Amino acid sequence: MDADALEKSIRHDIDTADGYDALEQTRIKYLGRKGLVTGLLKDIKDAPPDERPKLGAVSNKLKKLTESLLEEKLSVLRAAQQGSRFYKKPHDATLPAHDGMTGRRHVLATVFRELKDIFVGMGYTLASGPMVELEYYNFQALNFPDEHPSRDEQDTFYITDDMLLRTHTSPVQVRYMEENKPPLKIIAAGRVFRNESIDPSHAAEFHQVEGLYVDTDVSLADLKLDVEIFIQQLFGSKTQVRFRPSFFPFTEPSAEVDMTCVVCQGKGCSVCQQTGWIELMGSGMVHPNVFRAVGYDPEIYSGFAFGLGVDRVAMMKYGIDDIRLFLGNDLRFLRQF
Amino acid sequence: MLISLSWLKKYVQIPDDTRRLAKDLTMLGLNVEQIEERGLDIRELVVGKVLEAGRHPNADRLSVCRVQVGDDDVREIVCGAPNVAAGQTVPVALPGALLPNGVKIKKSKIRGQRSEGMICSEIELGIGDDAAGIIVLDGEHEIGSPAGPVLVDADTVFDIEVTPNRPDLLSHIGVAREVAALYRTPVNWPIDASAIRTDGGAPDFRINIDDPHDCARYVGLRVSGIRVGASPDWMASALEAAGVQTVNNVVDVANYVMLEMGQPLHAFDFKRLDGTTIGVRRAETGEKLLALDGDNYELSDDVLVIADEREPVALAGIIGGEETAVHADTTEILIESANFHPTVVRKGRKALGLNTEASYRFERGVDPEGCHLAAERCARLVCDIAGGTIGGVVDNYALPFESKSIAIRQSQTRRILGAALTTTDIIGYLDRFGFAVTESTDEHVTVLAPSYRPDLIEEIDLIEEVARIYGYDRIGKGWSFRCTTFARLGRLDQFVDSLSDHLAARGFSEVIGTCFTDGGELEVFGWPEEDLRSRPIPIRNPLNTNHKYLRTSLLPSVLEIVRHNIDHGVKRIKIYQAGKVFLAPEGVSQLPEEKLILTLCMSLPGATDFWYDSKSSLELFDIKKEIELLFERFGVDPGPELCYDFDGSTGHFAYGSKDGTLVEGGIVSDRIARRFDLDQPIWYANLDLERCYEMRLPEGRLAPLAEYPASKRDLSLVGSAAVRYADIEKALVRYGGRLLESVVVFDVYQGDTIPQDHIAYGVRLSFRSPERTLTDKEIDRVIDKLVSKLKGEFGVELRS
Ligand SMILES: [Zn+2]
Repeated sequence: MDADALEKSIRHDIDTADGYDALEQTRIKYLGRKGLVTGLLKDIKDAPPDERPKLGAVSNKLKKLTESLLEEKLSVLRAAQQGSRFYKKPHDATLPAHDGMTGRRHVLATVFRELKDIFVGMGYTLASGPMVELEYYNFQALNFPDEHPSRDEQDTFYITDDMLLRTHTSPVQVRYMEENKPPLKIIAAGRVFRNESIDPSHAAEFHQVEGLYVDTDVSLADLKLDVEIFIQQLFGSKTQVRFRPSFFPFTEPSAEVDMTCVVCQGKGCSVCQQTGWIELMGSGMVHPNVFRAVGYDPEIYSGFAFGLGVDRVAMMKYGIDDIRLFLGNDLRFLRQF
Repeated sequence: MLISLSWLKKYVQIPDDTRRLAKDLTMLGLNVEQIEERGLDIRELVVGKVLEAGRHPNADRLSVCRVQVGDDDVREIVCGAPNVAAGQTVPVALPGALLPNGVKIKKSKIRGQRSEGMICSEIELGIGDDAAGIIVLDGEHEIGSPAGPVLVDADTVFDIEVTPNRPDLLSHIGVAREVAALYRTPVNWPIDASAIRTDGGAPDFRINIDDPHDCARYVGLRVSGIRVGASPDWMASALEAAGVQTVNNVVDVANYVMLEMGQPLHAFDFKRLDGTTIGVRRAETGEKLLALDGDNYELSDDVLVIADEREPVALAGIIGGEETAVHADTTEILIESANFHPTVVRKGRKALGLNTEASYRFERGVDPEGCHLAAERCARLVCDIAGGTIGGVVDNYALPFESKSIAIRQSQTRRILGAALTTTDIIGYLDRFGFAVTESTDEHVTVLAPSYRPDLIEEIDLIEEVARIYGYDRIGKGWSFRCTTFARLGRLDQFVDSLSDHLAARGFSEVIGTCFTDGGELEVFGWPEEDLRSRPIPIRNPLNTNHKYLRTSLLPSVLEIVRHNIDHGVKRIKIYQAGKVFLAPEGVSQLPEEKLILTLCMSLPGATDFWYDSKSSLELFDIKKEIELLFERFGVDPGPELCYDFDGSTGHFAYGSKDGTLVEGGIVSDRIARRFDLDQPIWYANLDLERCYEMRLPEGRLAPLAEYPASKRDLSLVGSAAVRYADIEKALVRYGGRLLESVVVFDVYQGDTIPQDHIAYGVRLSFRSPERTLTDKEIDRVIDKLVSKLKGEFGVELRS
């Protein structure tokens, strides 16, 4: 067969191949080990030397042609099997398709949601109260005596003599207890205010989550267990927790809760002052005076309370070193979470 | 509270391992926040002897010294200090030494002269402020031995966080008591009650207390014939470790005893007092006192003062007066050791804007029983250090301390702690704190609360003591979780959560802004006076103008955030904030309404900066779309009273019913944009979230899916452009009846083929019956009715 006839035959065979199998047969027929085009290439060495270059050029051209026709046909077959007739091939499918304008929850909202999830799972109901609060609920009912130094730690924004911006979420406890009878297990979450100068670790506005459990015979042992479960849910089951005596006017015994340093995993580093521990939350058994203020009999009921800073949790979880970033709302910051 | 361990050791045995002591104290409730190792630990800093000191050949102010720093080691050192002289013993930093100021000592040449080290001054070693000359050591020191320990006593200082309920821990003895309880070891007092002497002769002064409730006790003790001077090194270094500056030997002793026993003390120059009667009384308005801090204080009835027969000489429990203080020429002193009432001291020092070591302790409560002992200790130390003899004493104990009996029950202890402690255990633990048991049964123990523990008031306070010494870490081992309540997230919380997720999916990022405002928005927003947003609640004591008011709208803080981001190069912005605003309908006489608002904000200015699917600018319908999508997604039905109010001229719109606005929004006006320094179009919407929540359609039961096909009819309507589409659609729905399933506007046209001032709408009506396939005739009847109503009500006609 001469080259022209061969080309014609190739074109015809490939054109009429109606499936992958037929196409493969055609490939073998021409390009297989004993194929016609392959044979042509083999014949070159038997040809007279002066004809070889021409013969070589012709055979190679045919080989290339066959390969490209096969490739073309293959994509036609593929399209017939998987493609859509509505499809319009773009110029270049590697172009990006979006400009990064995705929406995000604020990192604090994400942490809030995780905290709520954990606590709801442990049987805590979400309670709420006002941010503009009465002095009575923020201090008096929580066993902060008038003119006591314990108030110094809570620099307060006042609106009137007896109205202020809550300095902690604890007033919600009092309001809830006034309205409900035990057993009760609640968390209060939200913004709190301190009238102090602002720096990387102090903000005038920050956020707390606080828990309260009141029932007959609730003990410090119950507190330790709930807090430990919570912390391990939040930071992982390997996290160690320790309780050490402390003081809060509305709880007694009171305990500061430390957890294994997230930076050094407890080995000791500059963040944890080489102790391996970092302070995470305050807690304690509800002080009898708080129960008296809401009309519960401390001989019948006992309970525990704990509270933690949401901003602080977010800072520890994500390695954020400046609390002012949260309310700064720089989108370059917000889009990282 | 800074506690020096070498000081603490005088009163109690402590473990050698200071880290262990820190941990044990922390677990007992005395949080050791910081551990400072004091001392001068500099390698190659040695004691040297100046053998010769001669003039530098090329510099007048420099000396070339030969300094012996070892048996056979003599170095040549160039020194710039004017006070260097042969025969001095001095600290020498040899090559290789690294000084606290970062200087590394090397062999060098100074003005052509070899120098193999440096003779150091205080400032170079970081142990003082004296830069004028080198340190010259007193006494005998081995040449070549390390100079660090010679210069500064090695010590470890704990910074202990003392909570406001534990004033007793503001002293070394107080901490020693806790250490003693911890390791079951005794406290060694520097002086005991039997040492109080009463043989100093008849006192030459009187103490007069106006009100025992202001001052329960006042001990005055005279010391005569003293010589004021500098304190000995041991005391100076103890005070320095505890963070207190030295003044003179008398004041230093008073401070030392305060840090030792917790009793604030003051020494008056007795000769500078007018008369012989010391009064404790309230100040009279208009009285003044020049205090030791150099300030002249104007006094009032809030302030308790110590007064001589003429005028106030000290602010009781706060600070002494300059006039009557111990001066260099003082020889006669009166030591004051008193017990002032916490609230009186607190109110006084707050009125004067002062906070001192003394007031800090009095505010928290000082041991009333300890006054006399502290005065005696102080007097004796003064005599030891400054010479003199102890004279007469007056102990005016106007309101004697009554110790309080407190009972602690075994059952209650077990109940609160969740630990199976017995009465015997409880007695054992309380005994470690040294509380005296007055009575005990199988069920309870009664103890006397010590006078130095004002925090012990009722049973729970003792339970805490038991827990502290028993160990919090031993409690709750093997306890199991119990849950007697069930919980789920509230519906409104869930609503806000899913709304946030929806908005995030629509490309909005959440922001959380400040609750405060400086009020600057008030002039540009132009809220009418009856709008509560125009009357923000003022903060009475803001630290700065940013905290002047509580916000009444989220928009100002959102715009502030937009501006911040534009300033930082992010110009394409889609954000939202859900938060409370504070509205006070009744003025500030009762708690304000805290209203939950959602503010959306979007701005995509100028040229497209992405190749695909990106609009170059926004229109009203982009923000409107987000609002209507929210309604659609969350089934919020603005209700039959819906008014859709669109002001075409300024680009503002509102949804709401007669009960108020549900949503309002539009484009930020130029006036507002200028105020926030914004130079691009910004669209916003404010939603009343709680009302949206209330307006949700009830969760319905499944409506059967239609079995019969819908019939669609397209109408081309034309009428005056003054007729609003919303009214046309409302009419279509009203008159379309049960069969009209939906109305979609698919085309809006204004142009040459219809009259000017006219507008054409292409409207697709879909009709369906749940019972049968509708006939053309039935639909035609409805269409005819609609066409005639539209014509009648709006003059809108079918376009031919
Ligand atoms: Zn660490």
